[in-house]
Amino acid sequence: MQITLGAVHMDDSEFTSQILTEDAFREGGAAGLAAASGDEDPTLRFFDNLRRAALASLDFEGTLGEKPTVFVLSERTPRLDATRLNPAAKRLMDINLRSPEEWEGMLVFTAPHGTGGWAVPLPNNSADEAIDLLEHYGFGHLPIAVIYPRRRALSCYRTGGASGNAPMQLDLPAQTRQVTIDEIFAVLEDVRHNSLLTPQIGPPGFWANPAEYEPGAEAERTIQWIVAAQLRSNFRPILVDTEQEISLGRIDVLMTNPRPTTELPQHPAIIELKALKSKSNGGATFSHSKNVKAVVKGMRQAKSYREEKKARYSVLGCFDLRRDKSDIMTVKVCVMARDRYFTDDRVKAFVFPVYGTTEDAQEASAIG
Amino acid sequence: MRHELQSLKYRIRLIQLLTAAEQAALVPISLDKLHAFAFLADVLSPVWNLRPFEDRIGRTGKSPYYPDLQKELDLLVAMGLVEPSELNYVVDEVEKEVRFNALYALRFSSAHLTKLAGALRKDETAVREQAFLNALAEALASLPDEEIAQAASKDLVYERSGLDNEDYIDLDQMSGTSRTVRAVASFDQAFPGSKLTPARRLYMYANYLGRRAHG
Repeated sequence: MQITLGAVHMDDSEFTSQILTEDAFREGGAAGLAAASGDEDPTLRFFDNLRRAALASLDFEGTLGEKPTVFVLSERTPRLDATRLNPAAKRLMDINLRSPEEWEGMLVFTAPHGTGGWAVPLPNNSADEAIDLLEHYGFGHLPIAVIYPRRRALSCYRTGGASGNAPMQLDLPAQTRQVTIDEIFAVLEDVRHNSLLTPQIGPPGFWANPAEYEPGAEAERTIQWIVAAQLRSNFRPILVDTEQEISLGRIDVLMTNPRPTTELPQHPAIIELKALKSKSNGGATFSHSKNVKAVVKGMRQAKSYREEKKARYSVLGCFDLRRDKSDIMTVKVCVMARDRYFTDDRVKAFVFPVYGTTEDAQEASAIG
Repeated sequence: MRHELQSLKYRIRLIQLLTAAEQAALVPISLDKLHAFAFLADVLSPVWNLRPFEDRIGRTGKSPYYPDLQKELDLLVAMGLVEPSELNYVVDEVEKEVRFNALYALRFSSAHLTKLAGALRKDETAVREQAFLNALAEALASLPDEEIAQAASKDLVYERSGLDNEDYIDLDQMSGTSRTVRAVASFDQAFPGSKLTPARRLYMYANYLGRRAHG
């Protein structure tokens, strides 16, 4: 009988050089990286993984149905929770590898990976009735995500459907985009318009006191999470990482091409995000000069990180949560910073107004 | 006495494996998938700074299989802690043998299981092991369900190669220096600057094996 240590006589560098030439290693690594949302929060991980799995399924050819599907992040185990609701619950696997017809109109208890779980029929094909049913069985507080295949939309309720809070709205776009500054702007504008514009559509906790323009404690993190999720959907198969530490600081959003080419480099773009505020969370006044400093700092970061990562493009996205929407980019210091750092057309800054009241949003829309 | 202790350890390991499989919605789990999961948990344990549970495993030419673990699984069924379903026999025309097959899941109505699970939640080492197994089960769930066992058989340590064609693999001695662990470490160079947490590395390695299994 022979026993081996499972290690060939090859030093580490030789082994690494060899494995790096394997297509399967890079492709598998990239697929794993895309499938493993780096978020520590299991609820956010669930939403992002479900988004990816649903998109893969919707990419199958065929007609998309009207029936929604409700996915619930189980508290105990998917099997236990689903069979409590209905003993005839069935296991549903690999939704990312199935056409949507195979999972439409179901109520699915799942795990953070979001690719399968235990399913029961959706009561009367109604998401609202499913939410009532979940509440009846004591599951009303569990995070849920509702997929509307025909509309290619995903509504994510962090604190459960029974909470009355607005969901985070994500798109499941049919087409992918080319990475350009204009397309990145378009995605950020969609985030603003569809997910943040007013408190009515904004996610729970985004505002602490919207009428007073006081943001919630998690406002910046929420913006970053939604932006990253929407970039992943719109620019697939590009990988989108957040909060990456480098020697110069921490990049908010880094886009990585898993298979770099001359047309599309390893890092097509980096994105820095800033939240401009009238008030800090807690209600203290946040001064104009602090916002100006944040913009100047963001411009410097956008350019320096682009250089450091040899990225093609860099974008500074300022989500404007101030009551006073005066044009901060025309402030002298910001103009000077733009002239100093933005010396080519591969780096740009944009401001995205977000409103604490519907009336303010209507007013801005009415006066153009 | 030593034998009893070893049996107990196997049973606890099985309950931990099945708990992780439950949470990742991988249950009821087939025998080949359960053994594949157990093997990958051994060979990838250094990623989580843990030692492998088993000392060694034989190369069967099929997906990984631990005879001792299987024996204890059968005993857990007899004790009512694990429930089998979809029992059947598979006739292997090539090997000229008939194999028993079933799907397995924890039997939550067992009072013993409830007590055991409660005790494991209070044990610091068991909690760490469970966190690792949960993360690995999540990673495996990202592969097509029917390919999990096949992927494990393509593990860099398990697969026979021209340079490494022995009958048994010593999992304990190679821990931390195996080709599997070195491959996991090599992701840093393939994806420089990406935030590679241990959990993400498990997903990456699982998907790498999935690609290898596809040829």
